[in-house]
Amino acid sequence: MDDLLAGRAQMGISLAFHIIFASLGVGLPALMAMAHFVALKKKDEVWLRLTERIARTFTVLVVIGVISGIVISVELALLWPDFMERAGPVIGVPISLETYAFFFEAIFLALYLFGRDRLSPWAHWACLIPVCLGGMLSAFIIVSVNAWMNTPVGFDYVDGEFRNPDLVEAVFNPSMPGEVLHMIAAAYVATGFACAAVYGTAMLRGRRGRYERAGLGLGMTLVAFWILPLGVGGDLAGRLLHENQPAKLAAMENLRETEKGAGLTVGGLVIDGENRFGITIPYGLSLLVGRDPDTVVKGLNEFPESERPPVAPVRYGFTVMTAIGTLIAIGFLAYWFGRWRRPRLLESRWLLRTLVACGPLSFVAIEAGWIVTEMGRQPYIVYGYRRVSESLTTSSLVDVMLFVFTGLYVLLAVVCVVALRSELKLTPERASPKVA
Amino acid sequence: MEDAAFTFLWVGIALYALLAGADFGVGLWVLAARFAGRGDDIRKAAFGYFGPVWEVNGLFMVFWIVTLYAAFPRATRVLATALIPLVLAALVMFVIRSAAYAMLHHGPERYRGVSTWAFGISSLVAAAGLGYAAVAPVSGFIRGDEVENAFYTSAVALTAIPLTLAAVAHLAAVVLAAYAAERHPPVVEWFRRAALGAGLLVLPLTVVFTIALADQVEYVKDRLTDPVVIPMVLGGVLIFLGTVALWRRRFTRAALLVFGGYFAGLVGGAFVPYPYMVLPELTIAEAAAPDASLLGYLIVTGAGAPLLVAALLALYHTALGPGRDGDRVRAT
Ligand code: HDD
Ligand code: HEM
Ligand code: HEM
Repeated sequence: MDDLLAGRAQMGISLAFHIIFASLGVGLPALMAMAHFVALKKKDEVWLRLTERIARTFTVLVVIGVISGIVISVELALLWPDFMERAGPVIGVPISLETYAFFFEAIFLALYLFGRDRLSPWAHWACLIPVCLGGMLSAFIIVSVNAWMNTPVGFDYVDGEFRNPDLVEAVFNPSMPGEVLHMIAAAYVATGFACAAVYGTAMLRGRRGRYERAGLGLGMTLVAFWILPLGVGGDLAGRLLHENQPAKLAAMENLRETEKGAGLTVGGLVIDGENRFGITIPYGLSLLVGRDPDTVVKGLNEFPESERPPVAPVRYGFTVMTAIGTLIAIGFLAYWFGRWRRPRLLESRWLLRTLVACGPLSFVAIEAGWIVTEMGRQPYIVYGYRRVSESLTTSSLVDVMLFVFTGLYVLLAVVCVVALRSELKLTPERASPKVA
Repeated sequence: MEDAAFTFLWVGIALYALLAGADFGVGLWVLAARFAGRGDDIRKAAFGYFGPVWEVNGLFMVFWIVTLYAAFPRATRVLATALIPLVLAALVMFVIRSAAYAMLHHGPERYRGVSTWAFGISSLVAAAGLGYAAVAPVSGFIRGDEVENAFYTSAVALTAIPLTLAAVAHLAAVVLAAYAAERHPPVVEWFRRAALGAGLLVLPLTVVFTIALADQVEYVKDRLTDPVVIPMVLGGVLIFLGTVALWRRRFTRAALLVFGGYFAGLVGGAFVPYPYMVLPELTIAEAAAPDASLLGYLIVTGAGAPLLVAALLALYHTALGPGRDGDRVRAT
C-alpha cells in the first residue's frame, strides 16, 4: 500500500476508535451526575443502582479510552512530524492546556470512584462536576485545534513556517464555534441515546420495571438538553463552511458548478460524479447557508482538480449524518410526546425499537460527520497552507504500523466487550467501584 | 525562556518516569509474586495501589509529550523520526498492557493467568524500551533525522536497559511497601525485601551505565567533574537515606526519599549535556518554539501547576493514605 494512504488510514482508524470512547467520556459523567443527583435527593434505591451501573461501565471504558488517546497523541508526531514541527508553535499550547483538562478529569474521577468512604455524600457527588467540565473542556480544545486545521489563522506564514503565533486568535478561529458546539452536543446526544438504547433493549426483552424506565428516561433527558444545540451547531457549521471552506461544502452537496439559488439535494447516490436518485429542494442550499434564496454557492468548478476533496465519501458521510439526524429527532419527539400525552406510546415496541436503533446510529453519525470534516479538508492537512502529502514521516514503517495498530484496536475492542460484560455481571462485593 | 520550558519538560519526564515507572514495576512484582506462590495476596495489594492512580500517573506522559510539541517542535520532529521503531514498540506494549489490565481488573477470572503474564511482560518491555530510547538523545548517535544503527548495540544503550528495569522495580517495591504498611500489612515484609534487593542492584548498574556513557560521549565525560553533577550526587544520597529508612521500616519516609532521589537525579541528569537537547545535533535554543509560544506555554503550565499539585495530593492522600479500619486487610 502506498505510504501516504497507509498513514491517512491509520490516522482515520485511530481517531474513529478514539471518538467513541471520547464521546462517552464527555457524556457519561453527565449521566452519572444526573442519576446520582436524583438518587441523593429522593434517597431512591433504583437511581442508586442506575448510578452504580453507569459508573462501572465508565471505569472499563476509561481504560480503553485513555490508551487510545495516548496512542493518538504519540501517532500525531510519528506519522506527521513535519506538521507537528511547523504547527506545534501554534497548536501545542492549546493541546498542553488540554492535558490539564485530562488531569482534572482523571483525578476527580478517581476521587469519585475510590473516595466514597472518605467523603460526605454531597462532596462525593460534587467530584463529578470537575469530571464533567474536564471532559467538555478537552473536547472544546481538541476540536478547536481541528477547526484551526480547517481554517488556520493567527500567524504569519513565512518560508513554510507558522511564525509569530497569536494563540488566542488561533483557538478562536472561524470554524471553531460551529465545530465545537456541534461536537460537544453530539457527544451528549449520542451518550443519551446509548443509555436509552441499553434500557430500551431490556424493556423489549420484557423487563419493564421502574429501573428500566428510569434508565430510558435518564438517557432521553440528556438528549433533551442537547438535541437543539446539536441542530443549531450543525446549521452553524454549514454556514461557516460556506464562508470559509467552500470546497468542502461543494463536495458535501456534490455541487459541480457555482450557482445562484442552489438547490439542496437530499439522499441519492454519486454515480460518475453526478448526483442521482436524490430529491432536490429548490433554493434549499442557498437558503440554508445564506438565509437568502439568491445566495451564490461556489461549486467544485472553482477549484483546480488538485485542490478538490474526494466527493463521494464526503457526500455519503454528509448524507448518512443528516439521515440519522432526522431519525433521532423523530425518536426524540415521539418519546417526549408519549411522556407528555400518550403513555401508551411508551409501551409500543416500535418506539422502543426506534430508540434502540438510535443508540448505535448516533455513533455512526459521529463517525460520518468526522469523515465529512476530515476528508473534506483534503488534500490539505492545514487548509490552504500545508498538504497531507508533504507532512508524512519519511520512515518506512508506516504500513507495518497500520497493520499492527489495526490488530491492536481489534484486541482492545474485544477486551472492552469481554471486560464490560464481566464487570456488569459481577456481584457488588467483587465489583471495583461502589459509588452508592 | 527556553531553559524554563526545558526544566518543565524534564519535571514532566521525571514525574512520568517515577510514577509511571513505579507502575511498570508493579507489573514485574505481580509476575514475580506468581512464581513465589504469593500471587493473590501480592496482586491484591499491588492493584489496590495501582487502581486509583495509574490513569493519572500515565497522564504525565501526555504532559511531557505535549510540552515537546508546544515548546520544542524541532526536537519533536527529530525524535519522532529517529526513534520511531522504539517508540512504536513501546506503544504496542502500552496497548497490550492496558488490555491486560482491563482483563485483570474487570474481566472474568478465567483469563487471570494469561492477563497476568501479558501485564507483567508488556510492562517490562515497555519500560525497557523507554529506557533504551531515552538515552538516544545523549548518546551522540542521532544524526540528522536518523539514529545510527550502531546505537542499538552500543554499550550505553544496552546498559540503560537493566538500569531502567532495576530502577522501576525499586520504585515500585518502595511505594508498594509504603502502601501495604497502611493498607495491607501481611505483604509489607515481602515488598520491603524486594525493595532492598532492587535498590542493591541499582547501584552497580548506575556505575556501569555512567562509565559506558562517559566512554561513548566525550562531552559528557568532560562534564562529570563539573558542578552540574551536584544534583545527581544529591539524588544518590537521598536514595541511600531512603534505603536506610526502609531498613528501619520507616516506609513513608523511605518512599519520599527514594522518589526525591530519583527526581533529583533525572532532572539534574538532563542538564549534563546542556546546552544540547539532542547531542550534538540540536541545542535547546535551536529546538525551541518562537518566544510567543514559549510564553504561552509557560503561562498555561505555570498557572495550572499549583492547582494540579493540590488535586494530585488530594488524590494520593485519599486513595493511598492511612485507611479507615474497614480498608485494612488484617494480618491473620
Ligand atoms: C450525533 C451525531 C450527529 C448528528 C445527528 C449530526 N451531526 Fe453533523 N457532525 C457530527 C455529528 C452529528 C460530528 C461528528 O460531531 C461532526 C464532525 C466534526 C464536527 O465538528 O462535528 C459533524 C460535522 C458536521 C459538519 C462539518 C463541520 C466542519 O467540517 O466544519 C456539518 C456541516 C454538519 N455536521 C452538519 C450537520 C447537520 C446539518 C445535521 C442535521 C441533520 C447534522 N450535522 C447531524
Ligand atoms: C475524533 C474524531 C475524528 C475522526 C473520526 C477523524 C477521522 C480522520 C480521518 C478519516 C482522517 C483521514 C482523512 C483522509 O486522509 O482522507 C483523518 C486525518 C487526520 N486527522 Fe482526523 N479525525 C478526528 C478528529 C481529529 C482531531 C480532533 C484532530 C486534530 C487535533 C485530527 C487530526 C488529523 C490529522 C493530523 C490527520 C492527518 C492529515 C489529514 O489527512 O488531513 N483529527 N482523521
Ligand atoms: C473530536 C475529537 C476528540 C474528543 C472529543 C476527545 C475527547 C476526549 C475525552 C473526553 C477523553 C477522556 C476519555 C475517557 O475518559 O474515557 C479523551 C482522552 C484522551 N484523548 Fe481525546 N478527544 C479527541 C481527539 C483526540 C486527539 C486528536 C488526541 C491527540 C492529540 C487525543 C488525545 C487524548 C488522550 C491522550 C487521552 C487520554 C487522557 C486521559 O487519560 O483522560 N484525543 N479524549
